[in-house]
Amino acid sequence: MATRKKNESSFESSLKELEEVVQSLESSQVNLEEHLKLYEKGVTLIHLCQSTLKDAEKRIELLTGVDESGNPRLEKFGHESTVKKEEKGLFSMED
Amino acid sequence: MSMAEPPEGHLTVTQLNELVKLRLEEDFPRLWVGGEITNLSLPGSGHAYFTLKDESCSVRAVMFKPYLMRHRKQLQEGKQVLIRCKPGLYTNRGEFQLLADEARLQGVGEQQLLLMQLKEKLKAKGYFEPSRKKQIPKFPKRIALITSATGSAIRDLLEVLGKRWPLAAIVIRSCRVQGELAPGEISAAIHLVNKVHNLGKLDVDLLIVGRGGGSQEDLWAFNNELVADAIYHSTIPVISAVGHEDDLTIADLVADFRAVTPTEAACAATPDAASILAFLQETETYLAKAVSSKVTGLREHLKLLSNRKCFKTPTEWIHLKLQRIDDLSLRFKSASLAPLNSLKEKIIFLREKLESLSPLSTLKRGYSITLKLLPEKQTKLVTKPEDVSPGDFVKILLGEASILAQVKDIQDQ
Repeated sequence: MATRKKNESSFESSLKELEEVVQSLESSQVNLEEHLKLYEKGVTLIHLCQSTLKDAEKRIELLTGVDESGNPRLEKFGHESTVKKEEKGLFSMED
Repeated sequence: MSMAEPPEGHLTVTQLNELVKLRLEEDFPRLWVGGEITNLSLPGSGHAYFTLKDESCSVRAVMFKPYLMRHRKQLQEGKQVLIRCKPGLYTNRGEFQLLADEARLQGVGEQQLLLMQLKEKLKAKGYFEPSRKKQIPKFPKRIALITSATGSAIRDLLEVLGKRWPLAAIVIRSCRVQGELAPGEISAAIHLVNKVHNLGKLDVDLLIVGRGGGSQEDLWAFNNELVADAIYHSTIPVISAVGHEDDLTIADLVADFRAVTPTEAACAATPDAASILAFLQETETYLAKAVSSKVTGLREHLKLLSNRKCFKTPTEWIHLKLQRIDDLSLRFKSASLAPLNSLKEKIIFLREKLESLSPLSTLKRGYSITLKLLPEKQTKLVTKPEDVSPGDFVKILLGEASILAQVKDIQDQ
């Protein structure tokens, strides 16, 4: 299945895996049992991706500097986004 | 001009501006001034407004329509020109300005020249090579914004990034984006983010470096060699967003991707969650369809198979077999009985032959056989006169009976 690169996000690898599932399903060599297994896997991946996206919480920080050992000093950055208010409509198809 | 005496030494703004205007026009005859044209604007009125500047100072200037028609070629952004003008005051705003009526090209403006030289130098160093441009990650996990935390760009960036791809964490390194200190701060910020990234303290996939729009002077910080070096040496991919459509800054040329505005930068930096969700939805439908069509396909196949003759009329096969058995047994019978029958015929023939030779058949025709009875139930066939003597007992065999008799006499025939 998908070989996850070091810098690849889990979302990205899930999406890749999903593409592979679709490709396997499209090849007619798959028997019914495998077919159903692939379908189940595909649906699981889709739901995983959907929930990852929908549950994402925005993280915004201000990098104020680094200490001697190079650790970043981070502060919360206040940003009142209009996104929050629109959250319900955010993932609608009209977007 | 009628000058009313101002009470207690006060002037109205209008009065002041009128006074200054008068003084300027009286004290400065028409003269030639050299400088670089920037911020040229050509509104529908047909007049041209621009800034004339040298290394340290600038002044607003205007050329009205009738003069502009003859000098349109000379009046271009970045051009070093000599203009003939009268200094004056735009009284409505109290703004000092030059009223130009002639313009002559003076070669390339000095700043523009320096910029061109810097571009040539960096180009020779390979800073703009398309081959060294890094790929912008498709699904960034953390994006660093290098811009002013209070500027106009940050709002747009956060807004669009949050909407398109809330999965990406954002880290902001605030810096000045205009003025003398800006280039040093911008490059230091790029270096700092790279440092924490390379030390493994804070993974950053992508940098967005920029500011909102502004005049050409405002963007000057992004035409700086320090900034170019920082972008060039960044191990993290860089998107530039300097907010000026017409001019490519050096930062734009070195960056891995050039966006015209912060909004465009945010779009280039992230996938669109909404379209990905739509894609996921479509894929789910597609998968379900694929499964049901697979099942339908198999069902069709099954139906075709079950319609085959062997399943439809399963007994026919048996009938065919039975027929074959019948056929075989018939053949077997005829084959095995043939020799038997010929034997039977032979037996019948032989028996008939045998029967014709038997004395019994002779007896049936009226002849008889005489047997002399001997002691011990022995018999002897009588064929000549000497075989019997008078007084012997004989048995005369007829066809269907026998006669027991005693010989009385023997006579010759």
